[in-house]
Amino acid sequence: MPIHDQSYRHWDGELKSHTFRWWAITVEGLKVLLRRKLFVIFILAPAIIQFLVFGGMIYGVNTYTFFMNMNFITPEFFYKFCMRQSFFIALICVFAGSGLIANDLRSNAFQLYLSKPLTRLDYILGKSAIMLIMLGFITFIPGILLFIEHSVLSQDSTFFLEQYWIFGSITLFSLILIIPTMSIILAFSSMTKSYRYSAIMFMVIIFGTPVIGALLREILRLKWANYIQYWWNMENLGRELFGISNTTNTWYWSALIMIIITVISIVIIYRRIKGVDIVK
Amino acid sequence: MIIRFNDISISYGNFLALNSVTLDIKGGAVGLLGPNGAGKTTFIKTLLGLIKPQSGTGEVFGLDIVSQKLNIRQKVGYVPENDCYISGMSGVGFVAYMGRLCGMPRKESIQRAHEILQYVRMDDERYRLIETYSLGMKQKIKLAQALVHDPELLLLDEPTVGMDPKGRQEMLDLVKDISQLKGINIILSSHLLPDIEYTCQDVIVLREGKLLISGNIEDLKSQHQRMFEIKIKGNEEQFISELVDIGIMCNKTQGNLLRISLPDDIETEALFNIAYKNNIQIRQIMQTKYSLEDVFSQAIGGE
Repeated sequence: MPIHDQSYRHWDGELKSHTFRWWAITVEGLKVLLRRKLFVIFILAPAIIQFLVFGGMIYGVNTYTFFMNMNFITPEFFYKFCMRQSFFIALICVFAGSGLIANDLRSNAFQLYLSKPLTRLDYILGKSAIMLIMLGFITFIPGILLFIEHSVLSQDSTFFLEQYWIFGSITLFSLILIIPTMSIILAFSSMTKSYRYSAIMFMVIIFGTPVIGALLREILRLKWANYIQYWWNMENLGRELFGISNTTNTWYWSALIMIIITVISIVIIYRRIKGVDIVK
Repeated sequence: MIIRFNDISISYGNFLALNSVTLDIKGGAVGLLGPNGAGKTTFIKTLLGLIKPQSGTGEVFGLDIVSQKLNIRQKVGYVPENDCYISGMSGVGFVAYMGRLCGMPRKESIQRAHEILQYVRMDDERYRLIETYSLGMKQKIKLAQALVHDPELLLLDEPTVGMDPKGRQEMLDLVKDISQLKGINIILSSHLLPDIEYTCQDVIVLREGKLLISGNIEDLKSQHQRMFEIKIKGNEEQFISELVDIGIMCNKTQGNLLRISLPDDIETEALFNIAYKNNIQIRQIMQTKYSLEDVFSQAIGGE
């Protein structure tokens, strides 16, 4: 009689409910990303260093009398932090997001996912949450931490009582930065089996539209050319949210453009996942 | 009954993939046979609840294939035909992940993944990235991921395709063990009739979306006890033509033999009479067994 039975044994455990099954996709996706050392060292770490620099500035202003008179911890300070992190948002999308669906397409993984008790929505939720967590980790969380740091270190409660709305602005602006950008990269990722192609398509939108917009504005003197530029729209919305807006620009056009981009991207993702043949 | 299809029809545009299929599968090991485009894939898709029938109703384990598809997938394991994996994962990580997608708790999924990989005879390879696996190992890992949540029904789509003879035999032995000794129902879709004959008790034959035959393999074979292989010298075409004219089924086989199935109302003597009339010598005559291949050929040819 064998000491340990190595043949097939039935499993009598209990399966979890379906509600949060997409979370398994998110956890596994994050684990795979964080195992990539180059990604952590060259993209995540600099984003965190930037947060530490901003944190150091808040500490300096509240601790050393030399800096106290400068008083540069204004709503614009938090806006600038979010905008600077947007560079890392783009990098994370290129290096982490471009392969999220494309790699599954390349390795026919849809057959595996959708033969399990998962819906297309579960799959999309799981993949989106990977990006949401990763991007929130470098924008929303550090932004809020900076706000809390300044509120706590301030000598009196004036800042918090007068500027409490910055908390909401950071939250909303982080979502504005994250959701359309991650929707675009996931849509491109679902359109090709190659993460390189999806990264290139994404970069054309993110880095190409500012160039096209600037050319149209400077050469043809078109006033609406700014709305073509992806990041300009983000800045426009951010300035409005943090109360530092330029009155010549209307924020609602930028909001509409971002909503349209997001909706189109979501429709593409949903259709592409539906369009994949599950059983050949 | 584990599967019940009632008048199910599915079409892709003008192409009728399943045509009023009505069948009951009581369980055990069932082979799914049919030429390309017969509807085998659509049949599997429908079982997994991935395609909604245009008409008819279906149940798997008493669960409706349209409204309860997620519950069905919880009870079913699926081994896809083509190469599929999740990149960047080790074998054991992959199988455990598939378990978690089915709802298994994390710790138990890892423990179970090791057990299953042991069972499919993957030792140290389980710690390697799946991308580096050979074809045989990929087939085994696909079987492991389908078994990890202990399904009641296993759907295997060409599980031995591209495998070397040793790997193929190992895979067939595993499938046979799973169905016969572990009590898991299987549906095996394959073009290789010996694979189905080796592992399955029952067979379903589809053609152009229609169900041609469904039943126990031995019963189907025993319906045709009078099967002969003969070798002749003379005008072979003439001989075959005359046999077919009086209702005798005749096929050429390898080695210049003719495989003949005699209907119950025709005696063996008729063969000799036709040969004598056409000045043909019968050099060799040997009673043989009716194989699954004959069942398949007759079903496909008879339509």
